[in-house]
Amino acid sequence: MLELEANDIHVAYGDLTALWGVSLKVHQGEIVVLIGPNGAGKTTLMRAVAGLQPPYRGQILLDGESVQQMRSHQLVDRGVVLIPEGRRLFADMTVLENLLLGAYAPKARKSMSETIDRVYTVFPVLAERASQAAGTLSGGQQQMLAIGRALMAKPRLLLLDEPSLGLAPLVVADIFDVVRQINQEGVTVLLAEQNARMALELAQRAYILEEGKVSGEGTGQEMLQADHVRRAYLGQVSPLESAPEA
Amino acid sequence: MRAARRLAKGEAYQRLTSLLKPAVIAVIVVVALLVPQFTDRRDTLNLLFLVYLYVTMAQSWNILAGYAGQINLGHAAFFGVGAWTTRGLWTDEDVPFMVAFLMGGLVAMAFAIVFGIITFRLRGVYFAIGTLALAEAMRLTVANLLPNIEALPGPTIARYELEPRYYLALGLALFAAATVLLLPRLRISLGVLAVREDEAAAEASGVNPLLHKLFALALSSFFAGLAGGTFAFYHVSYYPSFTFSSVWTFDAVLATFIGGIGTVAGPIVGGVFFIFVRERLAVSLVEVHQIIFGTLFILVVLILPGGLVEAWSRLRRLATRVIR
Amino acid sequence: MNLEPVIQNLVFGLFVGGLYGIAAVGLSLVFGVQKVLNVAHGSLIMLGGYATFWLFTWYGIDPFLSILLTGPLLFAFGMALYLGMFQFITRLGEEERIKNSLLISFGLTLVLENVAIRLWTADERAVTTSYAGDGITIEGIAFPYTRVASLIVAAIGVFVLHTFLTRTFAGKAIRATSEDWEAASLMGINVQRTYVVAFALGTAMAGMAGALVSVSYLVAPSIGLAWTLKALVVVVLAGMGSILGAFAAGILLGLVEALSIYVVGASYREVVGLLLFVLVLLVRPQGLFGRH
Repeated sequence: MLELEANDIHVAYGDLTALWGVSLKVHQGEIVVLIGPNGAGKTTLMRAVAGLQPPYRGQILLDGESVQQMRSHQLVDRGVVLIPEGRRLFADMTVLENLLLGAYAPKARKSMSETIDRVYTVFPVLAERASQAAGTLSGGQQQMLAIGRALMAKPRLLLLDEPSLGLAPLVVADIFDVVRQINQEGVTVLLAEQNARMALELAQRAYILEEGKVSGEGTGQEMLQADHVRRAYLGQVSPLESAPEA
Repeated sequence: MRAARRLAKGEAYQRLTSLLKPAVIAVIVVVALLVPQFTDRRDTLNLLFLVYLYVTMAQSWNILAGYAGQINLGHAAFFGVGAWTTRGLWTDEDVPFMVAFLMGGLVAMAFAIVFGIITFRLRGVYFAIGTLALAEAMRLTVANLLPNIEALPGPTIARYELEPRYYLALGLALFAAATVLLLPRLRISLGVLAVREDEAAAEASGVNPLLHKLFALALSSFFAGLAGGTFAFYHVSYYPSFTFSSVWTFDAVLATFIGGIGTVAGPIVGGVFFIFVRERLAVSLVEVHQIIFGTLFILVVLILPGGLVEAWSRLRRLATRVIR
Repeated sequence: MNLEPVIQNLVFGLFVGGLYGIAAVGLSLVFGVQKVLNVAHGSLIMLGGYATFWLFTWYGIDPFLSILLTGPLLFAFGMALYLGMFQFITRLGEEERIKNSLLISFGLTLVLENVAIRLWTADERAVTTSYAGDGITIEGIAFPYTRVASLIVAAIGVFVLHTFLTRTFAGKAIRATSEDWEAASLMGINVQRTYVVAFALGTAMAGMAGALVSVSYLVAPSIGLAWTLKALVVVVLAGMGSILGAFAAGILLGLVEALSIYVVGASYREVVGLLLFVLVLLVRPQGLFGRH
């Protein structure tokens, strides 16, 4: 039963503090969403959980184990896998090579061939383009590769940072469907998104991050109804209006 | 009441130490000036000559490295140009020595400006390795063009006296130190420091990086050239390509880093330390001094970027905390 | 005009170029993977040369065969060097890291050179095998066995490294780390361990180059700087991150140097390479085969 807990974490880039005492919880099987404006610290939080940006204060507990000082590869071994902002695929390597690298961790490597079959089932387009260089794929296909690559690591907690970035709305809907599917198969999800509407519709629970602090918390539905959220992130003044979002 | 007394004691201590520093420096300078009057020993005078020469080379390298933040590994080229100019004018053209000496510095400076206009198009470490390559190319070229040993003519050797060489080297070292001390007071230094900290930001605020780097380079090469001229005055015979050898760069780099980069005292401390350790060990364990310097250098870069000067000031702060 | 000496010269340029290539490959690998510029690389070549020389002198082991011993030996030495020194600068940002690696490897060069002088004196050494003077002659052009073997061994070494990097999982992990270390870390790749392996591999390649240097050139404590510069020239010519490119650029440099003697004379052979280096840095910093 996966339990992630961040307790009062403070993260800084050099002298610049980006997170001021952020606390959150993610329970087994949930989809938890982080919304908030650009620069609020969503990416920083994701990086901290994934071991790229250790907090200088506070704790991150994974299943009761203190993990905030661990490096990323150690967290991958414990089933915490981040799909970073901008995907960061290995552009010069083929689709297949990217996927195989996703299974580098020893636990994942054992079941590498069966996992890759599953990934190809979820994303047939990756099977078609297996020997193409990752950099030649379209935006949506790259996101699929990024997710596929993360799945190769057999995650228990999947972290997604801005998966909709640079993608057309239809493609984003497909991606979110996949995320829902993955979650239904037992993978816990923590997702940071600019696209608040789609994220909140997907989420069980959500946190609002503003200026490095958690400024709100609730279920997905609660958030969709909340005035503040509607005004700031859903482009609406009252529940009766539905303005198209950017 | 006790706090006020402690404050007064602290102030008195400050006043004492601020008077102490210039006093100590004055004493050292006076002693240095008087050494030849009290001793005839060639080995002492030669040793001190080397100290002053190395201090000047380190100080001049530091102008570009510490002050302007550019790691130039072609410093030896300016030394070589200065030596070649001075020696040539003085021995072949019968130019009075002081004129030849000054010309050595000026020609090195002119050469450096051309050198800089080309190489400053490279940034950071590429500038370092580019300058190293160019300096090596110059050494090889000089070795081909001037393969024969360069020797003073007989009459000059007959008139050779160590004392003027000693004073020339000392004077140069003092001149270099004084220049470096005065540098921060110049308006142009603001621009140089801005370029050192963040070249892009400096440029965005209207500071011309190339001009400011060239300024530092000009000063750096001027003193290196004069140091070369001093070498040419001192040595009876040498191979011209030796004055272009990268050891002149690397010894300056070592001395500056170990002493403390970016300070006035650093190159001085480093230069003195360098020569004394080298000459102490030269008799018995020739290569050991290089091993020591190499290791110290690595330690300085990894652990103590301020070199011996920083180590000293940390010790002092520790001591004053203990005393009080 | 008699073309024979020209062709002979070119052939020797080819042999030398192969050596330049393998001398550069280790430097390129380390810089590409972890942005560490190790100017002591030439001194590592020097150590490889001495290892080969002593194995030959004391045990009579053929210099081309002893690579099987000196390779692992220098691999281990590289690991020790990295863990003892270079690992402390990998936490710095890229620009600081490159600058600091240049500085500490400079200190390392001094230490290695002078330790070598203490241990083995400054005398020049060379490995002279029993078949040193022999070779085959085709159409009047001499192909000495030692030179041919050097070229073949260099090519094999580079090819093996290239295959390792492109076809093995560990090799791909190294390439991934080189491209984007954070993304690699997120795959579960232990980036610190990858750095150790890459550095050790680079040192092993230097050792291999040293073995070939001991046969075709001279080994002395002071050869470090010259070989570092040579390797740097090739790396800059080729562009960072290209192993096969480094080998090709090495051969190209060997041929260019061979031809240059007809333009500027033999004594300026080295100068040509250095000036070409600065030119490439100024005009096409990404090199001939470089990525970005």
